[in-house]
Amino acid sequence: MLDVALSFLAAFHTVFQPVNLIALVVGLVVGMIVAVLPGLTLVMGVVLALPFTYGMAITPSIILLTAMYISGTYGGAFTAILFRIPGEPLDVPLLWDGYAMAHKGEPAKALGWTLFAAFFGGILSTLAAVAMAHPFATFALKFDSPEYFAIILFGLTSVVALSGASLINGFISLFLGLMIACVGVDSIYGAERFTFGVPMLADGIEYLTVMVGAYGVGEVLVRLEQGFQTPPVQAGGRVATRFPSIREAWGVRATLARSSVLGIILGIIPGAGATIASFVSYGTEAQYCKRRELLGTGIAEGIVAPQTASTATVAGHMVPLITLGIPGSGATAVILGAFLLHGVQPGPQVFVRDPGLVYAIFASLFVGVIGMCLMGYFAIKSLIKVLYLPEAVTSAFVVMFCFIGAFSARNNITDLWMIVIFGIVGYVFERFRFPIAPMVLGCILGTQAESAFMTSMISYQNDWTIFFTRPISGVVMVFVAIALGYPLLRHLRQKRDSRPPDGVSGARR
Amino acid sequence: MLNRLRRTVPYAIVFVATAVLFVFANRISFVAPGGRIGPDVWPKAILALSMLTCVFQIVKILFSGGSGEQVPGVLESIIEEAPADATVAAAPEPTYPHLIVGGIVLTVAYVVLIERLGFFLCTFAYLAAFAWIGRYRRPLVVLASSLVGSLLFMFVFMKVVYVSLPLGQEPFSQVTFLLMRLMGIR
Repeated sequence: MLDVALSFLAAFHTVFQPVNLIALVVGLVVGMIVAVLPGLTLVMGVVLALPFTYGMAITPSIILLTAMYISGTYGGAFTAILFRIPGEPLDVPLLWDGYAMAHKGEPAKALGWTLFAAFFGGILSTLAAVAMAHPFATFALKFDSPEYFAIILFGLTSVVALSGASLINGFISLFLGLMIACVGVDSIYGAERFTFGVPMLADGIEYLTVMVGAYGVGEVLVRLEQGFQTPPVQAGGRVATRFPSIREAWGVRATLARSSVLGIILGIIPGAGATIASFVSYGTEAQYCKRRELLGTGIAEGIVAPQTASTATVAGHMVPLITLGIPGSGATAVILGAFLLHGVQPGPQVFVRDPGLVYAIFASLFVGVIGMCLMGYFAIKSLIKVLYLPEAVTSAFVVMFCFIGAFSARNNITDLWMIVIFGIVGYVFERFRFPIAPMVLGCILGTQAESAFMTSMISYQNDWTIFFTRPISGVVMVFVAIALGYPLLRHLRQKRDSRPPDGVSGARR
Repeated sequence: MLNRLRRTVPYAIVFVATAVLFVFANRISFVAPGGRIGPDVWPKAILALSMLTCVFQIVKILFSGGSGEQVPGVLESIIEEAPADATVAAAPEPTYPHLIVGGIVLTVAYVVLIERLGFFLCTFAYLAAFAWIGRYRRPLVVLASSLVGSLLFMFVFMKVVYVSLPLGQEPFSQVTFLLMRLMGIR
């Protein structure tokens, strides 16, 4: 443990190198701007920044993207609290107590609680991730292909189970993503699959074009159909942040602890993300918080819980990404893309080959949390001015970033067509309430899932029970079953609870 | 019944598409050493699961007594349990179907024309037209932001990030070359 602590401390020297520090600051600023703008999600922001990393070294590239990611979980809180405009879906729970507190005449205090929560959520989760990453990687060295397959399957099923209006639609979206990953030449036999004689398809469909198209262009098209109707921002009074007193902060220690743990755990689970963590932690407070009956009226716990959890997911997400090479969210998938573009395959071996890089990423998260809070405190007034930018103009620029990002990867116009196609797919999915995340995650993890499945089958003579009989993969498969069964049980329970008990109606009569 | 049939359409389309792909999956040619499973197994398994899911949903919609109730994901359930005044988009938002058609046509036109017009001209036209389609009606702001944006994109990506953006064909390429000279791009 001491060597981990020493490596972590030594990595701060790397973070404070001028190039890395510039990347960090730029990432924090851009991440906050992206989070403040309602038409841009933080995943889109990270995607759009990717082409800028092509010419950079790996350390500043990853620092830039992770800084954008972490500040993206915080920036949207300003507009949610001050104007009732959630910059990101993860900021929606902040409307309930954050906006309510602001509405009661205490916006500065609501902003102070957000800053406090983001700071502690970020710092605690980063320290936890540093402590967990090395043992996790050492444990992961024992994994064989059945374990990898089981973990990927868990990630895929949990993203379906957690999000979306319909499990069935989630599964269809996931299967589409897995099929997209099948296109091209298969890695084991070299057989062409679903190429239809098109040479470009032999190389497969880049998951980045799917992501950029579905998240970027698709989202812009959805907002275009709504006529870019972001509510007009009211010219407010003085915007300031007021910190909670030590006594007040001590009063929410249980909420802080619960939400940090939830954020880290949900960050580690592939498929769950900041939005899920934000909602789940709010839901947890609704059950366990001492003042739960006051939730929704503008109390600190209702602000601290979602903000702490959503910021804590970022460090949590970095653990499976770095130790297993498995991205658990759209943003970490882009960061994985940046790793691969620079010729580094994340996984347990990266701790052996390049521990400096790993700890530099964690140290940058630590510094990033502090920088993001300083920025939130001092630059909030300037940051929210981006809301005055006309959405039609910013959206046109977003599409352009999508195009250039896709084009610059291979200098091929076909990739632009892919962006357009998946942009339309993304729009259709949104329109008919099919979740996009399973498709994107299926597309990203499909190749790894197939490879782990095929290798397992070849190594264990087509014995599919191997996924259940090996201890680690067997345990993970139980989690897969829970992930699939839980929404169904929850739905049945809700239906049962909403049904009036026998005799009630009669008694009323 | 007509309403139920209409609700099955997306699933029927997915079913047909996956069935067609299944036929193509049967034609994947490979040589597998004895006893090993081939590269067609994984896609066929996915396609089969996809078809089963669609059939399940179609049957459920047609014969479930009309409610066609879906099992939501956990996040959706939590949102449903959220405080009543929390819904962000409680009021139905008006939609503009003609805008989406315009946006898609414009985006497709951009991809078709970029190699002919070159990056700068095509991007300038796209940025201006998109803002206009998006109901932003301040011509000077639209033109200025499109011009500055296209020039900035060109400078950053060609001069700083070294991306080889399309130059265009004659006579449009002359505009690109002139700008490249002015920006010092080689």
